[in-house]
Amino acid sequence: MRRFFSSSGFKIFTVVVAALLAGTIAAAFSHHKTTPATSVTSAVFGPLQRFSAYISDGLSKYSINFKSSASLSEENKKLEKEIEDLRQQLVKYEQTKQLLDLYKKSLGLKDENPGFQFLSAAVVGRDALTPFRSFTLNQGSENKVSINDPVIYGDCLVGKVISVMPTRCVVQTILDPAFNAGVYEIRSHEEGFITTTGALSAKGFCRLPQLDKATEITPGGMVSTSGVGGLFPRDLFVGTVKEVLDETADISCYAVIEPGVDIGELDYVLILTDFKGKLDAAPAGE
Amino acid sequence: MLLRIENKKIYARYAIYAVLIIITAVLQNTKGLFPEIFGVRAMLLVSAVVCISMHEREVSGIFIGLFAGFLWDAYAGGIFNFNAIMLTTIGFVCGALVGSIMRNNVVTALLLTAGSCLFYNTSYWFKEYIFNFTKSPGDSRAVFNPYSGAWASYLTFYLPACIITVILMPACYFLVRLIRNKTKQN
Repeated sequence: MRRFFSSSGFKIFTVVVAALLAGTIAAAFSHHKTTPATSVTSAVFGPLQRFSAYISDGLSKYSINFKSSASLSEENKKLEKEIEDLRQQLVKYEQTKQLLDLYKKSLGLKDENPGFQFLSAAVVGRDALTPFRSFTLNQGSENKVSINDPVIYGDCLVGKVISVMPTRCVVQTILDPAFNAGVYEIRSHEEGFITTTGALSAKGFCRLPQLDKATEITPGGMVSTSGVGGLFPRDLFVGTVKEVLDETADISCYAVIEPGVDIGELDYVLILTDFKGKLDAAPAGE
Repeated sequence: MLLRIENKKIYARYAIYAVLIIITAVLQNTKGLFPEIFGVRAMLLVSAVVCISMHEREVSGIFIGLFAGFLWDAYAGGIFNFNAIMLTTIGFVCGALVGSIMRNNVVTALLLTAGSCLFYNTSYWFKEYIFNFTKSPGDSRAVFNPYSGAWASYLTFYLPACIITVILMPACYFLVRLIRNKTKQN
């Protein structure tokens, strides 16, 4: 035992450990809280550390880790729940964004027509056979929706309410051949009414019939509601003239109108429950 | 001339040991480079220091342990030279034991590795979890306050790390033996 403690190995060990402890005490009182040896080693092997981290990043997709199936399963459930929460937030965000878009487009209309009473509504159903001709909204008589209330998107006419339930209503769009509304062309001031046919409706167009042969309406003209009849307020944008064609049945012409809004893509609309000059509600079709 | 060749073999051996220690430090301390088993990493540097010290005895063991400890401290950002002191001690003790009372074979290597890992991990765990003093507001005295869950972490992390290190040690042992045989003096 005495030989062990007097051996050169033990003496070297004692000196080295004493030096390390001295460095430890010095580090404890130093400003940087590190020993000179650690600083030197960090500086010398710093590039190696960075290189090894770079290699590790590159190999991370191949890394082999053994984890218990229980912890993996728990982690999986947690991530799935997080995904579900995020998905719901995303849906709410998209809905809010669409509503905001609608309100932004409608803001100018409200400013110009302070008497307009709006009610926002979501499209909750479409007729499976003719998706552009009618759809169902999630507002009804409980919220003062009545038959013949105009339905708009921004400042564009979409259609009118044709039936009302307490919490739902059905909208007949401008692509329904049974729909008609008094309109005029903005530049030429020629008046008429908007309607459509089955063939045009399938293509997503309306028509402005019974135009004079010498009509001044040309492609690119803009068509808005005229307010005649009291069902729709004046100057709701209907669409743009795509072309002017001759009727086959008589000598008049008709204009093919491209609606100002894509009816098939609507998710939110506004119902005009009241406006200045509105006629009292009458049953649909009269 | 013969002496210079023998010296070259010794220098080459220690150069290879140094490279081995560097590679082991990189593998151990860089996340993703070496597989983790159930979240536990092997302490490759401890087994490397033990294996080299067993073959090279206590004085070489001291400096190998010192070098490995400095590297580990640099990676871990450890202050106070903890790893350097621990690995120097492990290198010295393993080298001295093999030099005096133990044989140099894989069984003793397993025993020494297990003992060194337990010594290192228990000291580290004690330093991190048990040896903790906190001051309450308004009280100038620091009170001994071990972290809760200390035993759970010892049983689920530190002890399994020892086991995994011991399991992987034979590869390191035979590699060091190969290096020594290839660079042995005649």
